Amino acid sequence: MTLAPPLPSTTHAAALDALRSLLGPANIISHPDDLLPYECDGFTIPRAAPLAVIFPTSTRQVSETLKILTAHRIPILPRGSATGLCGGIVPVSGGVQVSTVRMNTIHTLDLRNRFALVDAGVCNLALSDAVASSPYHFAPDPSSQRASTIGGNVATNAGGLHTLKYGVTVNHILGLEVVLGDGSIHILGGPRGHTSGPDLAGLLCGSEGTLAIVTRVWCRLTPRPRAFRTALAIYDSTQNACQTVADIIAAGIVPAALEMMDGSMVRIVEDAFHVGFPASAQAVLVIEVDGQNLGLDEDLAHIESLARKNNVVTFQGGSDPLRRAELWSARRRAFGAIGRISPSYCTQDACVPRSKLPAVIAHIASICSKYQLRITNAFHAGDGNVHPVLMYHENDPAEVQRALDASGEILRYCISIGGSVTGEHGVGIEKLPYMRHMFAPQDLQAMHRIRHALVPVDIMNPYKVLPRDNLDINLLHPQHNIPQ
Amino acid sequence: MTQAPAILPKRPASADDLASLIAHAHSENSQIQLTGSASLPLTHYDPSRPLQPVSTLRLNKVLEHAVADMTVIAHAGITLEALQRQLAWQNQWLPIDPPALSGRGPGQRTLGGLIATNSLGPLRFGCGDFRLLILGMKWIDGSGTLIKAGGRTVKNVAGYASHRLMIGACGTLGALAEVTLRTFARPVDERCALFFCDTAARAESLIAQVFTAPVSPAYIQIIGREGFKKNPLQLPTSRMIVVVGFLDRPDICASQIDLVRALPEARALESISQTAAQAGRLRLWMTSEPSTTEPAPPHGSIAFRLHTLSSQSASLIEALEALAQKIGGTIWLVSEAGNGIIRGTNSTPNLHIFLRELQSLAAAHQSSLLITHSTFPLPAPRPDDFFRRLKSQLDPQNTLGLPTTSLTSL
Repeated sequence: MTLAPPLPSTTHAAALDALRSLLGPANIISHPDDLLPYECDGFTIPRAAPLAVIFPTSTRQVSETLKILTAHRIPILPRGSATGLCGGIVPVSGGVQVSTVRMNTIHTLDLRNRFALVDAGVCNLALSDAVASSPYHFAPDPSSQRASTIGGNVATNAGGLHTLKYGVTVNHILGLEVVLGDGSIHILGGPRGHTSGPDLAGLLCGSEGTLAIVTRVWCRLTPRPRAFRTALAIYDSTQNACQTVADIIAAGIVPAALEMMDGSMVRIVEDAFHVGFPASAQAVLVIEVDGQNLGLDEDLAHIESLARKNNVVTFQGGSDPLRRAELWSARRRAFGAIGRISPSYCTQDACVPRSKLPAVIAHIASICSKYQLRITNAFHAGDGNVHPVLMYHENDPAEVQRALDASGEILRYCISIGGSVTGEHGVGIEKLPYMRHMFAPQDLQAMHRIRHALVPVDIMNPYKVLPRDNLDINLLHPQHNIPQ
Repeated sequence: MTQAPAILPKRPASADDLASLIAHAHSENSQIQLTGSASLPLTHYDPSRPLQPVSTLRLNKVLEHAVADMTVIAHAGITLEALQRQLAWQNQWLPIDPPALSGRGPGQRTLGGLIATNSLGPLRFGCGDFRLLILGMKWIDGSGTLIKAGGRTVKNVAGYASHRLMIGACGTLGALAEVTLRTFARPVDERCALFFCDTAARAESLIAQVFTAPVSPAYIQIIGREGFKKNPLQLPTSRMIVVVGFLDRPDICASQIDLVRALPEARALESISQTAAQAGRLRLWMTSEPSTTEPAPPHGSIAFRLHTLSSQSASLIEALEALAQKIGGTIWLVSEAGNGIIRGTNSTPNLHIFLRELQSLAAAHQSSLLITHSTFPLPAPRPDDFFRRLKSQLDPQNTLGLPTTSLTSL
């Protein structure tokens, strides 16, 4: 694989001149002061400024941009609204961030055929809002859905609160328009979905901008649930809550959502939003079943019986839309509320077999205790997708390092019991070292070969997703030891 | 002149054995002809190179059924019937109902073959596709390297999803060895309603109303008049038959059928509902095209798939039946109308005319046409740029062959 060697600044200047000429000065940011907000995504530990950030407004401009950057061997960093949580846009080897946020047109809404064609920069929620008067919505609902772009959702194969029943982003993508590093434009699938040959759009989903830039997306529109029951189950033990989750899944019930918050998160959320959680709660489950009205009460009764078997303290279920909105709003804003007690935190994202949740949550607590870190949990329990939140003080390097070390130990443990290093946030640079724990060298080599097939020059979001031999990126100094 | 003796197929019993066979072929510059239930001729091989047949039928084990986690790991050579039987012991199943092919019933087809050809049936509409079902995989590249992709959890975005690359690749980018799948609780009941439509417009109108009704069908099918004449329930035919099916508890199925039959368009149509045994039998029949279950007619036949928009399904069926009437021959058409997939066969002395007109119709509707079976030779499609790039990295020596035709999305 050809690595981009260091470039003289005159080459950078020539490239930026060409980009200004192509896009106009209003669509390029290159002054160092203006680049500060672009140093990181939602994972704020690794930071590095890009050479520039550019804002193409069409697929043609993306194509021409990539040709210029490839010709000058400047790394290309695809960027949506930077709500990612794994350092996927950090320019560890320099480079230009190519933002799709000004490509934000909804081109087609075909309700009869249940699809929409949108630009990659369209906000996730904007698509559901655009079809709000119809029976449909765009089902992937990451917590960032008010800000995250659909192109970004595709790049990370984003999940969300309701993926347990409705699937993740890849299950709602019919086709993609993508641009490779050489500027070539390709259509993979389309309104008719995957019709023949290998599922290339499926491969591109979750590739984190390391294979191509997504410019347009054919999205599947999904019927909105007509009826629902939402339940709040309150426990005095996280183990009992986790066991309830395992029992619900083992019973073959597929709730629309099955979320858990531990005791500390319950108190954070209650202090912030006053939704009526008791201060003594050690865990709560927010459970939703949806579909046809007929049968939902029976489903809820079944779930309640499993909760009672596991010593639930209080089980409140019902169909009140206001209570439902209140509970989900609180859950969605849980991570934001953490800022009230800790200015800095990092969220892990391992996914484990659901029958092992009780042991996993106990083990995570013991790891954080060992590293003397405060921890809280709000996670997609029904998917087995844990999100331990490790809190630290940004100005205390030793504590930052302890947070990173504890994260590593959590991830290695989850992998050791058959889990994945990441359920929905992606690998980025954050989880690179743990890919070696999850995959054998030949597995990673196969991924490198797939990348080399589509990215013959190592220019598309380099150093992300796939670890490289003899290179460990220092998250505190991400450009250290890497050619700029 | 004596004929060269046929080479007996190797029958590996583990992923490692299969990898060794491919590695050996790679080192000898020979090719591997991988077959599951041998229901489809998947690949084209270089006639100048030795060819080693390999059957996956001994790769037939359920390796792990994590009942409480609703996941299963199975060899790629296991038949769908064997896998479903094992899952049924725990009241679980995979909601897939692929077509019968080459005289092989859907249950006789192998898991690997189904994935390699992206073979799904009517349940694809309500129960999802292989993207949803497959959590991980072990596959073998053209050099014989065993590669793990994905995992065993229901969510996982670690690294590239090369297991999705194997869906529809006909085994030409990698040989499938083991698959990890998500399982589901077996539905208690199945029911369907049949609506007898006198025009394509009424069929389309009915389906449009079903789409926006407060119901969750597992499948929505359209059957053409000629095809329905051979229905196993010996029901009368009409211009076009719309079938709307449900999988759920009996009371919920019945309630949803009532809702569909109360739709404005449905009230004006003659309809009939079917309970579990008949509904299941009808659904199975809808996946079994005549070219695979009956002797080939002397004047030849063609089988095809059209991928169109759901809203175009009824009008395309009408147009295809009119075409067959004009040209002559016997046409069989069934559409997974919810997904816009039309499967058809036609046997006529004027196959070349039918094919030309079929291509025109597909182009006019911006639909993808896949010829899955033909009694006269067709030019092999040229692999696209993406495929060639990937092939050059995963099987550069072409040990695993190339797709013969667009034998995907069956």
